[in-house]
Amino acid sequence: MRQFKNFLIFACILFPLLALIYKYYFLNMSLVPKSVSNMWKIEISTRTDNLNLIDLEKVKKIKLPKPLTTLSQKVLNTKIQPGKAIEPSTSESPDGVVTPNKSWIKTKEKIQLTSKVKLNGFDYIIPNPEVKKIKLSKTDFQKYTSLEDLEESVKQDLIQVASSLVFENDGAMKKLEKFFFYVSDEFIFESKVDSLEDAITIKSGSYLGQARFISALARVYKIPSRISFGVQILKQFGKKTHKYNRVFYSEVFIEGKWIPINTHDKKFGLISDNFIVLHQDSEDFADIFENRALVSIYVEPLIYENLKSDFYVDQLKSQHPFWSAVSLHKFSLSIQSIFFGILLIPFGTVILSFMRIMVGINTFGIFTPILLSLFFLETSLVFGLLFFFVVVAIGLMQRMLLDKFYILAVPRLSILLTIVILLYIGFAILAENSGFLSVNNGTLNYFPIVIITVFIERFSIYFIEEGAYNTIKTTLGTFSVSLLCYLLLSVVWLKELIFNNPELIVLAIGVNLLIGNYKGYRLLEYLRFHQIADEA
Amino acid sequence: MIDLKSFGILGNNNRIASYILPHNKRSSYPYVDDKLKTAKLLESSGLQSPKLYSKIEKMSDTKNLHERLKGLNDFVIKPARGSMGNGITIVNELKWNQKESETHFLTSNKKSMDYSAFIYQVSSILSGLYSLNGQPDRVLIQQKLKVHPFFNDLIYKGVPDVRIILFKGVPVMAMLRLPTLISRGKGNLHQGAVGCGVELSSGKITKAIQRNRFIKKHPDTDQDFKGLKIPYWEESLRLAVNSAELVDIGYLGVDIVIQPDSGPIILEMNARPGLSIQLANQSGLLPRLELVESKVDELKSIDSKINFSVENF
Repeated sequence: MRQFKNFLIFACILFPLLALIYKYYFLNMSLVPKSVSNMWKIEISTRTDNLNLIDLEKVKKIKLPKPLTTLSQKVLNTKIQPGKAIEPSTSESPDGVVTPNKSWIKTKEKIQLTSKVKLNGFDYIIPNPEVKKIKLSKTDFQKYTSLEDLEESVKQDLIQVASSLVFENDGAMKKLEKFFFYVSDEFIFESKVDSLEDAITIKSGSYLGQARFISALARVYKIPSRISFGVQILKQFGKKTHKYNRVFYSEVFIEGKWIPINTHDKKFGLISDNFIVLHQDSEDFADIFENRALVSIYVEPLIYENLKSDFYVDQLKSQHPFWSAVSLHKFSLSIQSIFFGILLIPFGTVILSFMRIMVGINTFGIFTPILLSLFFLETSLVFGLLFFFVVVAIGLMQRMLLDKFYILAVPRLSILLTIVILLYIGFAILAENSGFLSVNNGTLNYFPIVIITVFIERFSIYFIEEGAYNTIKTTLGTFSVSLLCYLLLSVVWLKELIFNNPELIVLAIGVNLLIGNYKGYRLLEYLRFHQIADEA
Repeated sequence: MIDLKSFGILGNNNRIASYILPHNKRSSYPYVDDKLKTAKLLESSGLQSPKLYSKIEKMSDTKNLHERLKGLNDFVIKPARGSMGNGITIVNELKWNQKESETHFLTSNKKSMDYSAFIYQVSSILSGLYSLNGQPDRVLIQQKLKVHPFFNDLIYKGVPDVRIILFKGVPVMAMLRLPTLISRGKGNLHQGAVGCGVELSSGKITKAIQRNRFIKKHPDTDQDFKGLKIPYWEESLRLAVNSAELVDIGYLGVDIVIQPDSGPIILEMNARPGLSIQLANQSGLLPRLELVESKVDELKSIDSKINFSVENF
């Protein structure tokens, strides 16, 4: 029996790992569908109530960039709120910016522009029939090659630098490459240094300074150029909000198309699939877009909407019919999202077992912590916790009150359930109106109600009988375990890994068997029994 | 970190995996978990146990309950499947009246309870409020136990009891539990009751703990524990060993209360006795359990079991 048990543990742990290795190394399958979530929500907003006096000068000039569809990205929709705060004509303006109206400046209200953008990246150098050639009008050509705004001395310095970098008979592309390599290799990044003069003299500058420098160099040789603006997303797995860099880059007009030159990620003629283009031809607005106090930007991945990666499924079908047949990708999106939600629960139970058996933490009931963490996931952590604490407090009060009325158990629990539902409605309304209690995906579900009701009943009995001290201890235990489960359950890449390789779930059985086999001391028992070594 | 193994401490995981699961027969649990079944079992075996005045198995049993209470003076209301003393109400004096509305109960916390409050308490128990897993329960109305004068200086309120842990019918460790002010009259150590280690050979108190700390004097009465010896000790051990013969539970806790007139009496039995007893005795259970395991085949009679533990522990 003992040998069989050991064999079972061994098998449960080894089987999923071997399957994974087999798929990865021998079948060359990817463990997760690649670029599963390249859809992003970007929020661009401005509010004037927290600005200092210097910035207030600029408020009158505020413009918000409006993301546009380009070859490297597709804007699915854009929403502007509130509509009444902007100049009516500007939401469709040709220069791609949204202008607040005069009355807004007094109200100090927040204006927010929300776009959904799908990124694919694009290489402008490789010949591509999709790219339609355009022609610049004479005035545009004039505008994009003009160096007339520069002072004469700066202009002279610029021409000198340009001629030292390239030969006169180099082709346009060759010249631009040389400028690009010069900036990429020689320049020092200085965040506040935006001007062309500094770029020329001290060979350093911000992305804006670098872009201005390259544009100006191009104009020396009558190559049309402009400055554009976007954000480079720094990819972080499993995080909801992502960090990003505000980036200015130059675009040059060659052979009938605008070609990007990115010095921030050292890409010539290429927009990567982690870059959102927000505005083109931005020289006039650069000071505003750059200012974080005036224009704030917030980037968030939209994972669930792109859960199904058709490309991955097709590839799987053609190459590995067996694995495609047992893949969860077969199901409809709604079923997939259910699986996506429950896949990590077995690993939540591993945490629970570990905390109870190895650490020795007490919890209300056995699976309450996992149910609670599901509740937090279902709503959101802030919403969940706040709701939870309010409900527990009110539940306790109603119990103490109803105890005095000698109300029988079933009606009393029914009243409790009713109160929980009332509070749930109240909280949902609060969440909808305030915005600070955001609810995940804007959806709520039934089942948290029952979880909470059962919890309160246990909690209040425990409180009355065991006293505050033990109840707080056990509540903290329950919470710490459910928070750990919550953290685990919100790791997106882990979910994706298990979604694509569901056999990994067997691992949870193996580890649980292993933990169930542990007969040693619990961590907290060292604390509990440490007195035994004291005094004789 | 101290090496608990070198002190022979039995940890919770090991308690469950090596002792409770293999040695305690699941089918015997009802006899210890259900106080009504325990009471019947003990009554039929002739071992000393609290008298069962009345039982309420369903709500309709309360119809003539008022009549059945007539003539009782003091008693205890208990859930059959409660744990850790939860849901128990002690009635010190019953002021019975022909009219239900005039009947009053004076309870241990000096409160007066009217008949409707009493029925509420009964129905709460029946609905499963205090039972181990919320299942519908039954109510016992049982003899109220007295306190032996020996304990007068050792308690503030409540009833002290002796927990004896037996392994395969052999007593391995014992602890006297004294309710205190902060435990609100309850005998649970984690609620603040005092636990005293007891020498099995003599019934002498060796150590005392409260909230996992060693103490020399009783926190409420200031009584020094040194040299105190529990009365009726040998009879208590014998009673515990006898009761262990009734159930198929290898790792068993027996709770005994010493009565002033009749001596030891079995309050209840427990198939999952806790581990704080080791702290109270400042000694681990493991070596004792292992010793019993190796010698138990030679111990057939009740006397040999008692002698073995008196000699060794």
